[in-house]
Amino acid sequence: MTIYGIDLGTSNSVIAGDDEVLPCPNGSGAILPSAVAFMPNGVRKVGKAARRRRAIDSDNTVYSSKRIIGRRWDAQETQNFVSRYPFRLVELDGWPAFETRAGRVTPTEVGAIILDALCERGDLPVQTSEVHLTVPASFSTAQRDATEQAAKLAGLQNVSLIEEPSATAYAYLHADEPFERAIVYDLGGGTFDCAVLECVDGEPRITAHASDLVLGGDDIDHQIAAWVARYVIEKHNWDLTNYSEVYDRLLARCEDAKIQLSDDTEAEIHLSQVDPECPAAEEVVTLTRALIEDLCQDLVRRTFIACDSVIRSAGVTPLDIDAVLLAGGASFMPVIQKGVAAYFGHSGRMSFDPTEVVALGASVAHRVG
Amino acid sequence: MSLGRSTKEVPPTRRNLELLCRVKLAEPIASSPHGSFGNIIELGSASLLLEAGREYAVGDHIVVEVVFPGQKRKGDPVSPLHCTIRKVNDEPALHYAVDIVRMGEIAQERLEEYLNRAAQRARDERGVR
Repeated sequence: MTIYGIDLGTSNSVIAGDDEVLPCPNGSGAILPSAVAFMPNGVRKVGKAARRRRAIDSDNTVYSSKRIIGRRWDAQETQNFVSRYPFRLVELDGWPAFETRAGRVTPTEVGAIILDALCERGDLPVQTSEVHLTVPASFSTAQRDATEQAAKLAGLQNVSLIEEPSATAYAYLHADEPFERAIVYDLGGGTFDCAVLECVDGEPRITAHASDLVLGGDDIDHQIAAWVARYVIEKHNWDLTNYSEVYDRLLARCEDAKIQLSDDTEAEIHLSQVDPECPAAEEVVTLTRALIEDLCQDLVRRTFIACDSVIRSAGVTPLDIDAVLLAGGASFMPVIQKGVAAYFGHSGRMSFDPTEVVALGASVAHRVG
Repeated sequence: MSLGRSTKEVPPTRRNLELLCRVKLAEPIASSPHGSFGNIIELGSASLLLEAGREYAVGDHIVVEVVFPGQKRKGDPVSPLHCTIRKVNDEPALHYAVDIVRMGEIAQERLEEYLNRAAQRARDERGVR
């Protein structure tokens, strides 16, 4: 009987079963962007189609909602979210909810919509099968409860939560890449998680973990966007940060550029695709990999502050770590890989696609040892 | 300038685009005087495929305002294309087939340059190989 592993991520979500990730039903690869668009005609779009709507209907296209799942309205994280994202967020019985044209939608309901889309695969009985759904090790009880609630709303009947670092470790153990003591370095879209794990009788055990809940690929996008906005205001006296929908389009373009810069040394941002009203709308801003690496130095350093803390808590030193397991899309960035090699004295393992490893590991979690 | 009078070769249609544009009803409604945004996902010299931010009806007259990327010129960078919704291509996705019925001379030049540039690039790449 197949066990399905699901990584419900801040930026992207993935489902795996039978040792492989499952392609999205709409044929757009294995990765489903964690975005939901509420269309004017009542239709809901999820994934890539929703992500495209960010540019043209930002009020009604929700993404990164995992950042506030299970958080109260008055929590600092929620208020930070309100100030950084273009959504209309309102209080609903002490909890945050997105005000959309389809009505008020809670982060839990957004999670359920994404899970539903991920599990909707015709002949595969995901809803009635055993599902291992991953959560960050740092998630509170309320956040775990909200995630489980999302799974219930999506019709998943047999769900167990598994911590993301454990899932990553299971993937490597299952692939006969053993370790005695590993650290999982997971730089996802919304959070940075790191955990020291020891392998005991073939099972990974988390001995210490730390998170930076406001550090992820999204924050790198904000850093790049701030640089572009500063460049445009200095050169053309035009502010791309005045309107949330314009800034959101800038963020989306910066994310595309960041991804491109993992392979290429230059990427372009066309201002016409950010703000057609800008007097310099025909201008093309060129970003280089060196510039991006410079811009995110502080963010990269912060990941190692978290590593310092977790290694100290585990009572070991970086030299005692025999494997660094990389997870999260930002691990593709050369600056991250260089930083990891410098900090730990050896390269991080990336035998699996870091965007898929968590779901894959969750799906094989029962078969190790 | 009306369409179809040019004796020049018709530029090729560009597909798989995500070209941001502002879409206004030719007769603006009070609730949305500035229109909404849309993505042009396919563009030819006389028609386009629009992913709209709101719903339209077949026959609606709209103005699609677009800034063609990377065209450095003096003056207003916005090219207004006067269009009519020809048919609903994909209702759930709000994709509409749109006919361009009128545009100014400058807009037409910019549109043709944008369409021809991709074709030229493809020819150059073939030449290099």
